[in-house]
Amino acid sequence: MDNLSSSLFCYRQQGALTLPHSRAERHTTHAFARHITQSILLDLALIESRHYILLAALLVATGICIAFSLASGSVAVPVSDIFAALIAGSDSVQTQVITDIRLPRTLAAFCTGALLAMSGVIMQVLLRNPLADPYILGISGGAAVGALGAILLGFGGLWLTGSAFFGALFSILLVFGIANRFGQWSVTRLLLTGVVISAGWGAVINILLTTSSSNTVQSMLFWLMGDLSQSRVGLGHGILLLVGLLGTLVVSRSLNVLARGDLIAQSLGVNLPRLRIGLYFTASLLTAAAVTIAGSVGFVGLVIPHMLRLMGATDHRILFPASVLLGGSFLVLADALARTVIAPQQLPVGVVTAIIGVPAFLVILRSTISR
Amino acid sequence: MNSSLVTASNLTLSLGDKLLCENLNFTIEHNQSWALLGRNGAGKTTLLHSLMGIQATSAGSVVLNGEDITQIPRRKLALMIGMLFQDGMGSLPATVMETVMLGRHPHSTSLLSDSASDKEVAVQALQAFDLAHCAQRRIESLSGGEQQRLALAMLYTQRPELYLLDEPNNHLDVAFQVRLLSKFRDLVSNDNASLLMATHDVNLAARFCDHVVLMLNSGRHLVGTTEEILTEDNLSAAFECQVRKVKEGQMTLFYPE
Repeated sequence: MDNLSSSLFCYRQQGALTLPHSRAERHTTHAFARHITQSILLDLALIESRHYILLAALLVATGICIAFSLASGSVAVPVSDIFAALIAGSDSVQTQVITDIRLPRTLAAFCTGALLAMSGVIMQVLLRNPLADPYILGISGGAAVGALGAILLGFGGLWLTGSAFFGALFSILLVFGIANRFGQWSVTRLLLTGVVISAGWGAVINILLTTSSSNTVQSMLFWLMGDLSQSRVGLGHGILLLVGLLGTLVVSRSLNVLARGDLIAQSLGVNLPRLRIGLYFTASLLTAAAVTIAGSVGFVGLVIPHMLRLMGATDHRILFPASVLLGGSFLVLADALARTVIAPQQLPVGVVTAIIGVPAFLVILRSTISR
Repeated sequence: MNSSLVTASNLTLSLGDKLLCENLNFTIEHNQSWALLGRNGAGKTTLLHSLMGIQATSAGSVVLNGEDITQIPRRKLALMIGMLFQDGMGSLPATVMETVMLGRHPHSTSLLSDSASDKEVAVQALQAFDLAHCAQRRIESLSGGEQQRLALAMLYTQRPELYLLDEPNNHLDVAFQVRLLSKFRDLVSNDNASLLMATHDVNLAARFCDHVVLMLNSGRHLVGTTEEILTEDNLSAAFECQVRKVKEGQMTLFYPE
C-alpha cells in the first residue's frame, strides 16, 4: 500500500497533465502508465479480498451471537453444553430448553432480522435514500394490518402471508405514489409520507384489536412494536430467505447502477420498469414475511445497511449477503438482550431495536440533510 | 470509413405545450463530432434524451444503425449510445472505482464477478481523467470538478459508438475542458465512434466539432458544418444578442458584445 501511494504520488508529480514530447519520453510515460495500471489493479484485488474478510468476520459474529442467544436466559447453559444438546440430544431439562424454546426463537430472530435488512437495502436503492426503512415508511404497518385482518377473518398459513404481502405492497405504492411526484422527491416529503402512513396503519391496528376478542396487551405489542416470544419459523421461511438472497444477488449489479439514478441506469442498459416492479414485489414479500414472524420490528432495515456501508460494503453484491448475516445476528443479539436485561421480565424485541435505531436514524438524517 | 450511425428524421419535440424543435433532420456519421448549441431552455437536453430513447418524441423518428430506437432493447442500446448527464450521482455511498466500473455494466457477462479486461478499461479511464489517486474515495466526498470527471470516466469506460455529452465542461477548469474533450476526440477518430455535445461554449464547439445543430427560438433550427453554421449572423440570431468573431492564428473565437 505504501509502495502504491508513493508511486501514485510520483504519477501526480511527473505530470499527468503535461503531454510527452519526444518518442523516448512518450515510451517511458507509457511504461509508467502500465505500471500504475498494474498497481491499481493489485490494490483492487486487495479491496476485494477485504470484502471476503468482512463476510467471513460476519459469519463468525453470527455464530457467536447465536451461541450467546442459546446460552442466555433463565436457565444458564454453558456454551460447551449447547453443542452437546444440539448434536446428541437428551431428555434433560437443559436440552429441552435449548431445542424447544431457545433454538426456534433464535432462528426466528435471525430470519426476521435478515429479511428486514434485505428489504431495507432494496427500499434504499428504490428511493435512493439511506433513510428508507420498511418500519419508518409504514410498509411493516401495512403488512401488519393485512396479517391481522386475515387472522380476524379466520384465515391462516399462506392466506395470512398473502394478505400481509398485499398490505405491504399497497403501502409501498402509496409511499412512492405520494412521495415521488413528478420524478423527484425530497427527504422531507418522503419521511412525512412515511410517518403519516405509519400513524394511519397504527390507528387501523388499534381499531381491529379493540373491536375483536383478541384484544390483549401481548397482541398489541406484537403488531405495533414487534415481539419474538411466540415466534416460530418453518422451512418456508428458510427457503424464502435463501431465494430472496439469490434473487437480490442476481440483480445486485443492476442495483449498483440504479443507485446512481434513473437516467444513468437507463443509459447503462437497465430495464427500469421491469426491475422496479420486481423490487417493489420483493421488498413487500420480505417485509411481509418478517412481519408475520415477529410483528412490526423497526429500524433493522435502517441500521444494518448503514453500518455495513460504513464498513466499506457499498457494492450490492457484498451488501446483500452481509445484510443477511449482520441483520440476522443483530436481531438475535437484540432478542437475547430483551430476554435478559430485566429478567425474569421480558422486553419486546422492538423496544431494543428502537433504542438503538432512533439515535442511528437521527445521525443519518443529519448527514443526509447537510449534504 | 464514413457511414451513418444515427439519423433523426422530421423530429418534433415539445415539453408541456412549449415547442422545442420542429421537423429536425440530421445524420451523424461515424468519426464525426457534432455540437448542439442554443439558448437556455432551447431543448438541448430534451433532444439528447430523445436520441437515447428516454424522451418521447411528438413526431418523427430516430434510427440507429438501421434500427428504430424505440425497437432496440435497453441493454443493446447501451452498447451503442452512452450519455453524460447533468444530474448528480444520488446520495447512496459508493467508491470512485465502483462507480467507474458501472460503465462496463452493458458489457458484463458474469452476474457477480468483474472480468480482468473490464477492470483494466476502468483503471485506464481513471488515469485518463486524473482520478487514479482517489480510486477508493467515496463519491460524495468529491469536489464538483472531480464528480464531473468521474461521470466522464464512467462514460469513457462504457465505450459506446455514439457519445452524447450534456454540458461536458460543467465544473471543469479550462485545462481539463481542453484535455478531456481531446480524449473524446481521440475516441471519435480512433475508435470509429461519434460524438454529439450540448454546450454553451461556442469556442469549444468551434474547436472540437465538425458539425453543428443550432437551435433557434420557436422550434426553428440550423444544421450543417461548423463553418457554415457558426457565423456572426446565425449566432446573433440564436442567442438574441450581438456575437462577434475574431481570428487568432488557427483559432476562431466568438464573443458577445
